[in-house]
Amino acid sequence: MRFILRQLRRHRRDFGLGLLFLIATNGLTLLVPWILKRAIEALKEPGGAREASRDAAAIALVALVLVIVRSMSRLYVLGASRKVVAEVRSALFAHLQTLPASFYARRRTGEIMSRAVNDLMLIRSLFGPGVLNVINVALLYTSGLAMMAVIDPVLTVASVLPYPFLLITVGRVSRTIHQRSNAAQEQLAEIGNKAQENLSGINQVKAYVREAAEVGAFARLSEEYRRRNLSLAMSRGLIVTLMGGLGGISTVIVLWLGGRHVIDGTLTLGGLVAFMSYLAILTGPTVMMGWVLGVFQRGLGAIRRVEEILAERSDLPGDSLPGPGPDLGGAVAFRGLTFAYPGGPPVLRGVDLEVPAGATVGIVGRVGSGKSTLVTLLGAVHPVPRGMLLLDGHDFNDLPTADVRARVAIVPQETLLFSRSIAENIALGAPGAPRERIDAAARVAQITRDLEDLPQGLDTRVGERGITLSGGQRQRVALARALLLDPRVLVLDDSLSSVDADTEEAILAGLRQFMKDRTTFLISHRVSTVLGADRIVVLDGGRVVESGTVGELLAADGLFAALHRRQQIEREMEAL
Amino acid sequence: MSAAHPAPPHEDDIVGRVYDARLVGRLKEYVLPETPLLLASTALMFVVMGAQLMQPWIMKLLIDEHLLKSDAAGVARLALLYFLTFGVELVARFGQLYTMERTGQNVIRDLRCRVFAHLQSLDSSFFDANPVGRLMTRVTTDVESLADLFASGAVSLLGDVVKLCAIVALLWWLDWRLALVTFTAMPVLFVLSVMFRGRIRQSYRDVRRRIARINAFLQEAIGGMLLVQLYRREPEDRRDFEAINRDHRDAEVRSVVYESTFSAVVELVGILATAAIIWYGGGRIALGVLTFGTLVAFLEYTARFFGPIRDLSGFYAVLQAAMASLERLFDLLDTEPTIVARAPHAALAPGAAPDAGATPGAGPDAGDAAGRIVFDRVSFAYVPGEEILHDVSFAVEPGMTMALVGATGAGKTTVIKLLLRLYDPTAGRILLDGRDLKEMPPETVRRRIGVVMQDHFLISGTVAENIAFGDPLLSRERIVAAARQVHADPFVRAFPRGYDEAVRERGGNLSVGQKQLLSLARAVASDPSILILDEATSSVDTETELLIQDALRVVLRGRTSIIIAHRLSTILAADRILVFHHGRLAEAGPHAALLARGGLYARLCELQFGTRDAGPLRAAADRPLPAAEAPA
Repeated sequence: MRFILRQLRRHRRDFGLGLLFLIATNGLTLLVPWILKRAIEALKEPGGAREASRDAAAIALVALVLVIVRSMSRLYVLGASRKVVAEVRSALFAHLQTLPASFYARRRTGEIMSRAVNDLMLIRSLFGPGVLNVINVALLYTSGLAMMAVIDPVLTVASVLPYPFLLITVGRVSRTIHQRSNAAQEQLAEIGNKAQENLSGINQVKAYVREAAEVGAFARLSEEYRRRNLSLAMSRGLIVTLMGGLGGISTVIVLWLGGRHVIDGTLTLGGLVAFMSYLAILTGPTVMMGWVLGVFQRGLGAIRRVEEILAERSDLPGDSLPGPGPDLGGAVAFRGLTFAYPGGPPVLRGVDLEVPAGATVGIVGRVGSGKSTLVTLLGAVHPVPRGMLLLDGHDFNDLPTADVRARVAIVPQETLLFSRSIAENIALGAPGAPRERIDAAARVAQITRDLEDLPQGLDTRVGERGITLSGGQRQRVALARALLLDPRVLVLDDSLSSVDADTEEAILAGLRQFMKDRTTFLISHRVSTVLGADRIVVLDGGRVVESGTVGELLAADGLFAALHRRQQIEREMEAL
Repeated sequence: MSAAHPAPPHEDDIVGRVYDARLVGRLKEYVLPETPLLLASTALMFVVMGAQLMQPWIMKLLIDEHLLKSDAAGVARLALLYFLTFGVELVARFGQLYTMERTGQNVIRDLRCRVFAHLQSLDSSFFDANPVGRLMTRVTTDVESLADLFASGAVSLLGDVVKLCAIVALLWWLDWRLALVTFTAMPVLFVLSVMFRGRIRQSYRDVRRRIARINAFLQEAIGGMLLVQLYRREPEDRRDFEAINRDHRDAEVRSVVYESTFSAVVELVGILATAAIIWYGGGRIALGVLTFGTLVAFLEYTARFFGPIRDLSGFYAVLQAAMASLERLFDLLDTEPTIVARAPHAALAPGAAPDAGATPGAGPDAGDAAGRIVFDRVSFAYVPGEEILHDVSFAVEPGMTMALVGATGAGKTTVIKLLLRLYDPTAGRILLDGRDLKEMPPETVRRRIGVVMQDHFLISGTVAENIAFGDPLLSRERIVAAARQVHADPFVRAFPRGYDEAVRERGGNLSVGQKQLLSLARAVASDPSILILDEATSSVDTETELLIQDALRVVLRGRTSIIIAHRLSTILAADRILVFHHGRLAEAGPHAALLARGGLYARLCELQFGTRDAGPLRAAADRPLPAAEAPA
């Protein structure tokens, strides 16, 4: 609750003004029946028509002021609620940016989205209409009852007799509504699960001609959902009816008892009419109470969920270190590195590897051998035990995360382009880079010629109007992105897999100059990619099983040699 | 593979008109069956309205006839009558709300099932082009926004209009001069509401459009957060997000301005009417031509007049959302499947050779035929222009086991998908027992084939339900028999609930080997004459591996089978081997002959089993292949 409440406090001026205007609004609203009472009382006297028309003018005047005051009260309160929510959303996003990979491994994108969109919508309803209505009810009840008591205290007590009963019932039924609404939501989730399961396996469903059975199962889920919704509608209808019924009892009490008071002469006809008006003003918000209760319940739940995310903290020691630290060179050392993802078995076991600055290391191994994890750790995305991973002689735990990332450029296995222009995608890590540098990076990545076919070259937006880049093109854009960072350490995590062999050779040739004074890690399923490396490391089951120059490894006739042979056969096959 | 059914790029951003007669017309089909409920709801609505309109009238009588004549008993009588109308109103309102909700729930249940059933009928290519997430939105969110439409009361909207007219008529009848004065402010309200309505609508639209932008941005930013962090782009992203977030906030604040002003103006006109009644009515009371009761009735009626007008504006947002959803739903329902049975005389694809070892013509009827499969110069492209299979011809004789081998992407899986008629060939034809697949309904084709695919697709249900996947009515004996045949019976019995053990989502409580055996049991459960097998590449423990191999031997016996083979034992057991290379059929023949040729197959064997020798090859037959390391 803490953060959001603090944010609320920042807008206390708006909420306060809103409250003032709300008080004025209610005061004026309650004034109208009072003037009405005076007018009707005047009309009972001979020659009261003049006085009555003065009262009519007064009512018109009140109405004019009221329209302004009411608008202002809503503008302040509702406007402030919108502003608070926008600020919370900004803060939430900024906070998300600080959260580490482990957080994103635990929570799905959809879930986080739902916090940032749906839950904030609920919070908006809580602080906007929710707060507005609660204050309104409180003000109307206190001042309205006071006015009624002035007119006829006995009648006031009699007319509010049903109210305690009403409040108890509202409380009880809204609990039922809450349960039933949860039950309906759960069933909707079931429907979603069924659709997900079915649609992701649609080919199997078709292959087994199971469509009818699936439709049947889906229909049963939908029917159950309908049933639960109707039982929810039943209790919702019940609460509306009950509340209306109790309001009706009050009105009847006023008509009957008030009528007798008029006949007795203890109450004027004008007083009775005004009393009825007050009662009507009170019943409106009362009927809303059930809804407001729901808004509060849902809103508080949403606040809890959003605060839960805001309470998450990065598990990277480097995130809390003040930067910038020492200027970093490109020497990398893995010293007995053992690493496991949270809750999982070790992915890397005792990896020892000293890479001097400027060296090129090729890493090969089967799927799941730990190659990707090994190099991803260089991006400081997961906490690593002290003493096991060093950059330029400094332990990763002692380096500010931003410093590491400024020096290490990783091109991940999965290429991700954002729906912006290609130039902006290349300049992802170096916003404001001059066009010549972007052009140069594009040239080294061998993407320049492909860009000529696009309508606006580098300024073509990715994903717009059906313009899609091929896998190889996307990978080359991602490579250019890394080059532009001008890093000390460059990591290519199988990032040229969709590029054809000839283009890859051209890229590597162009990179040679770039790689000369930079430490480079090359992961590839293609042996040919790593043949030019100073050193080759073969990983298997998270361990280094072979390490040496290409010549040494081929001579050793181990895994690398086998892999090398396989790829030669594959080349032969391609040629057939 | 994509784009066979290109989706409009920003389909989910459709903001929509407020009302679209064409869409509503199509919705009629779903609403008509609910006519009795709708009629009941409408009738109840009139009861509610009648009761509501009677109440001020009773008040008038109470004041004029009894209160002012000091008739206490009469006051009590009318108070009771008032209470009765109240009771009737409430009961009728409850009935009206409930019947309306019921109508809505029935309609959306039917629509939801219809959309789901329609999805089942669509081609595989449709699913290639439309991500599961988007289709799920159709079945859930889009259908739900229609529920809102019914719950917020399309019918009560009609009721409100009738009620407004009735009030005007009643007041006119009570005292037309006073009525005229009361409604002097009405034209002002009308002009104002026309002015405001456009703005309010526009501001709602702005808000929706901007929240859609926030959604799109967040989706991308959260999905790519790690990359953004690696490239330290957080400040720029934050700045961009703040800009669109601010835009959204401004649009929201604008809509608050319009909404607040509009509802305050409606209230103003209402109170001005009260003032007018007091001013003019007061004069008429002084003249003796108007009673106090009528004055009060006027006040009460006008109070009931302005409420509905204020509610109208809120209805827009709901209506707009519902129209956008309807548009998407009907677009989906309008997508037609193309894989259907075609008339037998349909022309052959141009350029297709009439015979490639096949005997076309009227083959025997599907049911108990042997299962002869012929591919006759088949070519296929998922995306026009990007052919995956080129001119492939082969025949599989009844009872024969055919192994398909080749690198990843060589076209093996495509052959299987074509045989299942998940796609139709772009050129050439596929014959099953002499009949062109295109002439047969896809269900007929698929019923004859048992399939095991690589990704063992298990549904959340019991083990028995998963085995009876293709035939939910399968008897327990046959389920058990199928399991026994593939050696799945022992481990199933070991479960606490045996065949009734629940399979968790995606088979989370089963081992890889168990999933393979269950899939195999499923494929043979309905005793198909043709078996298609895409062997799993994932390795299992030796014991399970032996079980699987033995099970395979059993189920292949007496069936026409096509196997995408990854195990040496399977290849050795095949009668013939087809070697695919870049979408072409490169070599065909029995293992020994192909090996002797020293061509592609020999190299493939060496690649996958590490030797060209037949000797060690046989020895290696008992172990599974290493996980595929072939180029993607």
